[in-house]
Amino acid sequence: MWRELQEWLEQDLTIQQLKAKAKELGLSVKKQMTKTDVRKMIERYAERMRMSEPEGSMATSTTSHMQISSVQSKETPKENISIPNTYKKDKLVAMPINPQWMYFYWDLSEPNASLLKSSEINRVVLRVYDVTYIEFDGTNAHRTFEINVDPLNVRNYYLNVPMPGAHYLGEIGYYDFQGRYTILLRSNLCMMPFSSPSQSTRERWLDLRKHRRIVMPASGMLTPVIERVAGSVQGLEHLFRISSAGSIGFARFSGKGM
Amino acid sequence: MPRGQVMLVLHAHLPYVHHPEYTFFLEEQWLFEAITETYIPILKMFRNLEKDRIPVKLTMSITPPLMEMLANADLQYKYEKRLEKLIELSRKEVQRTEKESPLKNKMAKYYLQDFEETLYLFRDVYQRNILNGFKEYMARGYVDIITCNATHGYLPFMAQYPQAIRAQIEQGVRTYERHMGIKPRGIWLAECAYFPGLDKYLAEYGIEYFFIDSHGLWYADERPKYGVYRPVITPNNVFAFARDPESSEQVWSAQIGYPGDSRYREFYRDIGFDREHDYIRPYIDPSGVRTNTGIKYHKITSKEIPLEGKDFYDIDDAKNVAWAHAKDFVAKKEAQVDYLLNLFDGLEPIIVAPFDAELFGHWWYEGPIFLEYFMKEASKSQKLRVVRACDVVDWIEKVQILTPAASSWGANGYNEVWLNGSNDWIYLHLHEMIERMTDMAKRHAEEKDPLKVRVLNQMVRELLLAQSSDWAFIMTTCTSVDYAVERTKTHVKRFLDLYDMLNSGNIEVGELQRLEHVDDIFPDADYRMYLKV
Repeated sequence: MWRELQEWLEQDLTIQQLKAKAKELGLSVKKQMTKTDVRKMIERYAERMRMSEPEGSMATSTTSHMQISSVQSKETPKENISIPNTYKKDKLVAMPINPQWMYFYWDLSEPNASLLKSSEINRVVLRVYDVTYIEFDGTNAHRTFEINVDPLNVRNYYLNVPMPGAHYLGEIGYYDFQGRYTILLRSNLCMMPFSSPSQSTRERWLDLRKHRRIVMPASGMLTPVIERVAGSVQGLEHLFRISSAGSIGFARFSGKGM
Repeated sequence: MPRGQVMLVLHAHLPYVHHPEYTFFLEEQWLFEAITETYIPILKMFRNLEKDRIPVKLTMSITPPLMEMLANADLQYKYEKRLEKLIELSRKEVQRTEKESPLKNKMAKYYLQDFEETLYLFRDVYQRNILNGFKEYMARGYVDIITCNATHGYLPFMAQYPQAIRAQIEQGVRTYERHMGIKPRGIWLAECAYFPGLDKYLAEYGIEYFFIDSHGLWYADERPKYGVYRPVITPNNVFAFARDPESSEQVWSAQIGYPGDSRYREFYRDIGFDREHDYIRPYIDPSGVRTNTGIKYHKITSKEIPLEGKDFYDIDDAKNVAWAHAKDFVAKKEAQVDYLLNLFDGLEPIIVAPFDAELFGHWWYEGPIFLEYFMKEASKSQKLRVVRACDVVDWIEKVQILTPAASSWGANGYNEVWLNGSNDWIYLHLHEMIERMTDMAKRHAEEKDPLKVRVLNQMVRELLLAQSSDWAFIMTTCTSVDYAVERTKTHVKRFLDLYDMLNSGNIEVGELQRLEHVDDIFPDADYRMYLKV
């Protein structure tokens, strides 16, 4: 029914036709209503039928005004989409970006946030431990790095790290004026990607017919490999420029690796 | 005689965009354009090759959000309306171009016929759900359809939450099964993103194979003897296929790639932008914002020439070029096979060439024609054997065991496209949502109240939708950024609201119903997935 109505509305209609239709649908038509008003009223009616849900629970805009047809954007209340910028939880999260860079973000509980404001604190640091293949006990890291941070005003950090393939652990802590260090937060283990071929001297094979595993000395790679240089231009973006308005509007193809 | 095995893999994906509360929504056009320009042309290719009795072997992922959209009655209805409008427009164009230019007129007639055929296939042959077509050709061995993780979430950024990874995979498997009627054998990991350990989760869900980028093998824990030209198996017994950089470059590269040929169709000259506003208005965004229609009359001509200076396009010329390109691609693959066979002492190399499906048809208009010609040419070759991923897995006798390295197919090969200054803010929210979801799943593990179960399952939908890697990707590429930011925030907000409802016990049924209506993906979403920590 609503489909027929919508299709009907797609025609070029006179105000008389529109008003007649509105009356037929039991909508109250007022004398001073313009053609657009009546059209909108019928559109709304069709939309309500389509939803067949109680009034008020229908169309809610979720997107910026650019994307919505002008007719409807005036009609639909915008959903409030403000989201919190903190969850007031103690959290330090480490994420690998590429073999050389890692990312940290953190969030703080109220007690810890106020602790960091106290006058006993000399400086706050972000520590990074290299804990590759060890059970870390707080003292046995291969290497330890430290930088001063202002964790109340800065909430994340991009860090250049020395070892691709290493496992890093982050920590936020502070020094008091006596030089004592206290841990506040510790991160998840972050495994950095490798950026070079393995040095392993063995090769393992699975014989699927005989269900047998075979281990042998490595014979290396038979195919010569041309590796990419990190950060180099890939050359794809030039071919597939980014489209505007409407089309699969994002260049899914730009930046695919070569 | 040993041959070289060639495996073309098309990754068909669009983020879930469905706004049932609007009759026209700009971003829904992404799907409609892809159906007209890519998905149906691929089905047409199957039909043409079937008529000519040419064997077709293709591997294709159709992601869960894409399957959900293709099977959605409202989107099907909207698409049909859109196509009918396009047919109406091309009728007008046939008349109008008569006086303009013979080449334009020829193309207008071509578009009219092409859109009419598309409508016929969509409505009459496949009953408005083109998955029926893909299912049919899968059953007949033309194509190996594989799944993807639920909403194309970027799995390396869920590494610390096994339950979130499991939910992404489980929902992906379940959605595939609901639409295809069988279990998926293979998976395309969103953005080809892998990290050591992910294979364990794939094995849990019976996944037999997945795909990685080249350096995922080159930098693996042990050196791959045959490079990217043989699949490997992980310690958890899942096969991994790696991308051949050479094949990608032949198709992708700006310098030598096929799609840049001057005689191919120019993507950026569309009558949606060229025709006068009054005339084109009924066929673009109802707000009057100009959009692509799919009717284009110009060819690339030369990359140096600005859009206004482009020459007219001729489909027959372009088809000849596609034919020549297909022959060239076959010749290049044959030469590569000769070289590799020699290097491997007669062991058959397996060349894996994955692409975004939407490259073929949408961006590279002649792409599906190229694929069709490639299948024809390759079937005549004495050196090549075109295969599906499942064929290799079924036939292979001996395979190297190794753990691939963390990698993706994004720019520079790692995670920076999905984590940089333009999108890093989303992860605080995405991780918090996983934690709250897990917490709620535990608290309601035995929940019997159907209303609360509905709230929990809607929370799953909001979380999964927020996790789509597309939003972070769009923020990086600076196109449609507003939409991506708003979508992310909207799903976060809706999730938090649902969480508060459940926490307080004060469930607003009307609001729940509204969210179930506007975010209507995965009717079978089950919050208990998040118990699998």
